[in-house]
Amino acid sequence: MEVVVIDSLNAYLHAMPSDNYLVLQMHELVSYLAQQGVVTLMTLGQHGVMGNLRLDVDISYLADTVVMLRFFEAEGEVRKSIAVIKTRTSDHERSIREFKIDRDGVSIGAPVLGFTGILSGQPVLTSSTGELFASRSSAEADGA
Amino acid sequence: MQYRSTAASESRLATGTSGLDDVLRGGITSQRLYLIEGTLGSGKTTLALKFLIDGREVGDRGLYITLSEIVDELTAVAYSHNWSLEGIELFEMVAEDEFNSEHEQSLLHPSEMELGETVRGIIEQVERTDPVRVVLDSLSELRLLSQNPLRYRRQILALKHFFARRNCTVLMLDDRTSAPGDLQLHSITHGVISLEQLANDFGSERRRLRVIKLRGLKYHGGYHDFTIETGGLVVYPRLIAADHHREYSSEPVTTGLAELDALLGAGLFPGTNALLVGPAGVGKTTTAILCMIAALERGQKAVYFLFDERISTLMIRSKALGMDLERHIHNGALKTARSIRRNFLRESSPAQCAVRWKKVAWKS
Repeated sequence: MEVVVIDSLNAYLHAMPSDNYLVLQMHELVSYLAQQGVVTLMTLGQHGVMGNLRLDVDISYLADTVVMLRFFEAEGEVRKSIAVIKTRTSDHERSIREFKIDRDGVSIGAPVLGFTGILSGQPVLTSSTGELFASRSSAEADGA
Repeated sequence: MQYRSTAASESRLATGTSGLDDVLRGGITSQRLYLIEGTLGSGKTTLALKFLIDGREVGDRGLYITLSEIVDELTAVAYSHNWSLEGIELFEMVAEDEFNSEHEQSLLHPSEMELGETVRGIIEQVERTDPVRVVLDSLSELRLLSQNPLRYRRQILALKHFFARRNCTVLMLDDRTSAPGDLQLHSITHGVISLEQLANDFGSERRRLRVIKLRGLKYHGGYHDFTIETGGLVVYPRLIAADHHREYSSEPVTTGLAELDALLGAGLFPGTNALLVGPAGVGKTTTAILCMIAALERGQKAVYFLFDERISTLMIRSKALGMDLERHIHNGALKTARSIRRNFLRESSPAQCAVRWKKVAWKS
């Protein structure tokens, strides 16, 4: 087997006698999978939707790669963004990209440079230079 | 886990308890005295009975001497595990004349006579049945009869020498009713295995064991979770990552989306992990599935551990996004751990999950 997905760590956490235990257990499990040459994907839900998001357990130090997914608003819509905040194996892109899930599956747009407040956990798009996906209302208008 | 047998481990005697022999790296040394200690209900009797039953299978005569339980209770334990105790000598050494007034009028304290009688009784039984494997259940009786640590230690030492002369492998059970820190037995015995039962705030109890000492042999230290199932104890040796290494290519693989590969720098590297963090509904699961489908399309195999939703829900919504999981499940490339749901998680120990995961992973 080459890929293992654990969805989600939050549920796994609830099975543990203590938070500390999860970290130790995950450490061993993740190292085991690493020894096997497996690509491990783990999801971790955060509390809240916007603003200061909180994690049940800090496990990010165990991860080789951390991909952060966030909501943001632009042009009167809730949109999604994706950014890689850490990789151990290669140099990653520093930019934020827009992220969209629809009938065609997942699409990721070009880097969006107009964000501020990324580190506060509440990215705000201050200036758009046309990198965003067409908004759903305007796309429908085009189709009609 | 399989361990290569070395010259030293050739004389190892399997305990018959699944998983425990892995923890012990093959078993215990034969013809020695061992202490199995544990609180009430932690599984000592089950472990000991299995040891005798396993011995019977290989032709070792077994003797179970009980100082506290009666034979009926033992057979009930065996019955609950679908075991037959045929061919195993059960000897119940409960003083029948306890209510006899004779002792009460004696000038000697009853314990002084009883201790000698009990030890003599044990010796008589062993000489009569000439066993290879012996279980002594439990030591707390002997301890109480001895009244002071010195006598107790002398009696156990005497028994140890007696058993050593007869080439018996002995398990002594102790329910740890003594004051904490009573370590006298630890120093006399050849090995000590400690069983524990822990209560949880929610869900079923957890049990774990630890090999405290095993003279001259290597074993996997630390706590290992176990459960009591029909058929005996099942020990889940703690996953030790360093014991499992496999050669693999370190070339990065694609996530299935060029833009995501670009974000990551060069896709995903085998032997690494990626954590997808974000609020609910932002697309963590979908992203994970995207990467997994890319691997399946490459002809690789994948295992998906799903805790938060039902597999059918996941398949329906993936299909709506143009990602067909069904095909891969059908051709066997994708394994979903259906049985490992929240229910299972709640009732099992972390190590039990890890072992289960490993099992699922190895099969694919």
